[in-house]
Amino acid sequence: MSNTSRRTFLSGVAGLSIAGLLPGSTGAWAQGNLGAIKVATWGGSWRDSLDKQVGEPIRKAGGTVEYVVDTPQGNLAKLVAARGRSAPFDTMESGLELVQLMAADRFIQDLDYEKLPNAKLLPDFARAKNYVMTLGSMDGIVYNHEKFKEAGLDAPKTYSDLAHPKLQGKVAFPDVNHTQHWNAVAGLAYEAGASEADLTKAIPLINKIKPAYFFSSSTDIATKMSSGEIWAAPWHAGFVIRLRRSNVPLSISYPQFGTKRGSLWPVLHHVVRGTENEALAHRFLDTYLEPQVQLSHAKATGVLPVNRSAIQELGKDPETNGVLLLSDAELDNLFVIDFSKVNLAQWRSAWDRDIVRG
Amino acid sequence: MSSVSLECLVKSYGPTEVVKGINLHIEEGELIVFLGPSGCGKTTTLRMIAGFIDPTSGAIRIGGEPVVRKPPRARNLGMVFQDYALFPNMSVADNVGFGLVERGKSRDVVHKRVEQMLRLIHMEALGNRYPIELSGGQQQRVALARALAYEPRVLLMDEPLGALDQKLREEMQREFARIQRDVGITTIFVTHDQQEAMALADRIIVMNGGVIEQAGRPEELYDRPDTLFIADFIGRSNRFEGKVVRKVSDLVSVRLSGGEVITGQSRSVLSVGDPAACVVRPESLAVGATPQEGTNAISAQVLRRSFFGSGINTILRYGENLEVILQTPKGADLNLQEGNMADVRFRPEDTFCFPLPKAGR
Amino acid sequence: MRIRRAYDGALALALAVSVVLFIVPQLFFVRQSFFESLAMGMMGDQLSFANYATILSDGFYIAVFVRTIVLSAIAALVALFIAYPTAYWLARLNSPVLRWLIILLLVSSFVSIVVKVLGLSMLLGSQGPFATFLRFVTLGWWSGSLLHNELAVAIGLVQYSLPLLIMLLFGVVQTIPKSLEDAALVHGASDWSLLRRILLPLSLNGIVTAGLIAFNMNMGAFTSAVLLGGGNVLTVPVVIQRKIVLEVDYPVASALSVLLTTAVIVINLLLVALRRGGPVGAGQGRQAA
Ligand SMILES: Nc1ncnc2c1ncn2[C@@H]1O[C@H](COP(=O)(O)OP(=O)(O)OP(=O)(O)O)[C@@H](O)[C@H]1O
Ligand SMILES: [Mg+2]
Repeated sequence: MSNTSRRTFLSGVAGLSIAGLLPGSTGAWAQGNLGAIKVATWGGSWRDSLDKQVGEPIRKAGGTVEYVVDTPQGNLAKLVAARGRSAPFDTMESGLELVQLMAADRFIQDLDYEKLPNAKLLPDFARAKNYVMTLGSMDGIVYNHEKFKEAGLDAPKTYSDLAHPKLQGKVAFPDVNHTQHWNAVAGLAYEAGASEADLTKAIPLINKIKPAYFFSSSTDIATKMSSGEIWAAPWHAGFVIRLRRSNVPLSISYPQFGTKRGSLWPVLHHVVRGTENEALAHRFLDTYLEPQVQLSHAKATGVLPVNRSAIQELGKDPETNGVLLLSDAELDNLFVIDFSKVNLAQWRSAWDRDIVRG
Repeated sequence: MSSVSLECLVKSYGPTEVVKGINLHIEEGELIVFLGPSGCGKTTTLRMIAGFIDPTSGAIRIGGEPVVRKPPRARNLGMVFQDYALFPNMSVADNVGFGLVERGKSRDVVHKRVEQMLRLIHMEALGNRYPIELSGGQQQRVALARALAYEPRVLLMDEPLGALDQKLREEMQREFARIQRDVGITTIFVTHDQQEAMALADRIIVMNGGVIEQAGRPEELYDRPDTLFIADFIGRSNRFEGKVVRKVSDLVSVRLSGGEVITGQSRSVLSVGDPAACVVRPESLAVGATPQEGTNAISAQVLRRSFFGSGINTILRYGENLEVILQTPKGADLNLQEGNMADVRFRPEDTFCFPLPKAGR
Repeated sequence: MRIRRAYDGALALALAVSVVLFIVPQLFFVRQSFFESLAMGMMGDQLSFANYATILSDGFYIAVFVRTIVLSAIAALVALFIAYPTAYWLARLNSPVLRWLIILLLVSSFVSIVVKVLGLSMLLGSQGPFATFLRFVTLGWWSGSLLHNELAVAIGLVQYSLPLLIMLLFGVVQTIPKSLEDAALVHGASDWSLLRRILLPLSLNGIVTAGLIAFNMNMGAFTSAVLLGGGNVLTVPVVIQRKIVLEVDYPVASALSVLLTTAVIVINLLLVALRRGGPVGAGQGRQAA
């Protein structure tokens, strides 16, 4: 308690002194001091874009935003570690695999939709009691089409295609602590004739692919994709768009999940229970949901906005052409994992023990 | 046991020559002492013989065999270091046996020989001790035994007694002379202590600035110095400087600052008008009433007298500030009063004159 | 006498600080490891050995421990093999360059592990020089990467501990007078017996100490295992981290870390004991005095 109030107090003082120092910055003061929040999110280009699209307007309005950068699991661990003390951040991005855990333990608070006018523009499924779906990554197989062509390989159609002998040592797979892990193993489970209800069916297929390694960070796999060290990996479309900007010849293909094709991994946003600045936390989230912000952030990072009008705008962006599935029919046919069916403990144990490594 | 020859031996570090062409032949069984001031190249020369340093040019022969570019282990030499360099992880016996073991000798042979060596250095009972448990003198003897155990061709010693106090040093000198005589090994001994050199050497090689100034038996160096450096460096001497006024074959006469003319021997090139220095040993000076024909004489003031055990030193002042030392046996009563003037006399045979570098050079 | 007492007081204070900084957090871990894990970082209130039983009866954890110990030991040995000759060379280098080399070494030991690992992953990757060379000599038959396996992790561990080891051993070799080497050589020793009979016995204590330090560092190494192992090399610290971050299971993570610390202490004590009972070395010779 006292920690947070001291932090708020100190940043207020810092704001004061900076306001006094910088000419022309008095405007921010005039608009009122909104205080400070910390936002837990992923790092790298994602954080940079988020700060530019959402952090910047908040700062202009007189607030202070800082970031705690980690995977959602990592950030959850911080939340757990701080149990009983003041929360280490005020809002948090997460994924489906964490919501039940977090809600059950009441680490996150119910959202006050009165303070989220932009949420009204979202489809119903995006608004939940204690999270709002801001964006979603489109997960599939990201591959280097030039390397594939040189090796005489066709574009992969299924995750199992990655077991091709010519791809030995060239395939990476998202590790269990990586966000794109879940759609990849679910896809393989479907290819093995099962579903997310029995992910262990995916294990033999993963062992057949025998990935060169298991990545825990997108920055890492991005480096290896760019250098040509890795040719293909289950990942998400955003990086195809981002890496094409630096001329890495990447494409994405979307395998079938039973009758569905392609997969969505929703990005969820929570307000952390015990935040000292609920108002700014909601304001941050609402700014995040503004159609224009949704569009810009989605364009920058290559993900799917939840706001339909933003999706339509995004379709006009040539960068998304052939990378994202944006027609209404395609969107309706995306696979979204039902995490309530996943036996998490069983899967983690199997992942540690039954995957052939090295 | 072998002879050692150094032929035009040169060592340079970059542009600086530290050993500048040494020629020397050492006979089998000879005990040679390299003597000279610090930095004159003694250690460098010794380490070239040992094989730790490659000469820049020149040859080294041991027993007639050229050894340059052979590694130390192939030269079959013994060496004693100033810090003894005993192996702290080995017992005295193992230290002494080290060279034998390295030569692949059987355990029995090593054992017998080590016992023999320990007897030689009178340390039979201490074979199981470790070096750290020995006194400096004992460590020194172990180092000597280690170097001799495998019967090397030549024994090299670089200031082996440098770390000992004066009394122990003299004791070790005697001990070492005994052992060297017993073993009869060709030995090169480096020191900058001339007492030690005099006490031990068959022949002293005086080095200076990377060259041999003079090589000879100790009394030769003392009685017939070749250069002013040797005369200054070996023993004590009084030094009178002046200008040459006359030269007749080997005899030159030099006029001193006080006007006196003294005569001495000179084997160097000296001509009339050259600056010269004449040196006389303190024991060659006398104070006497009766002037003799052809004797040098100067008049000096008695400053003080000091007793040194076997004799008496009398310090006198000649001219403005030149101190002259006169050494007499204890019994001789010179009847000198401090402050009085005295006539100091010395013979031309005991006076050696050398050219002085001209002023300004 | 009073000075002496003040000095003792200062020592006791230092000891107390060490205890607080080192032992107390460990005790916290130890305590935590005896409680049952409920979800989300909560713990039961019954003391039990259940966590230890789970770990020790599970082949997976045993394999992780064995892998960690073997990897750490091999990396420490390899590091010693590289560090000792280097340290020897530096210690005998009679040149003004030496100072710069030492500074370089110091600087490199302060470079963040992440940066070092990044450099290594470029070096070992399929686009790096080694893989390119192997591809070339095998005429393209081999076209993999040297990353993401135990070898890469071992190389990372070696790289990380190397500067420290070199500096430690540099100090060790420096205490061996050069004249001992000269003496050995002039008395007929070959290079090999110089090493075996003089240098190694005289550096043995230092080598064991340095090796143990490297081993202990390796046992706790996380970054190299994660980044160079690429999810293929599960060591104890990696598993602990996953227990905490993925499963928020503090009790099992604590039990794992208690076991890791115990393994490290036991192995250190064993080696020290072995050393005591071993052949007489320089240390013993000196101690006898
Ligand atoms: N490795 C080296 N590099 C450059 N100069 C050196 C080297 N070793 C010795 N010298 C120089 O060579 C000269 C002779 O050195 P050396 O050690 O032979 O002298 P020394 O006669 O043994 O002197 P001391 O009586 O002090 O032991 C010295 O001026 C020394 O500075
Ligand atoms: Mg010397």
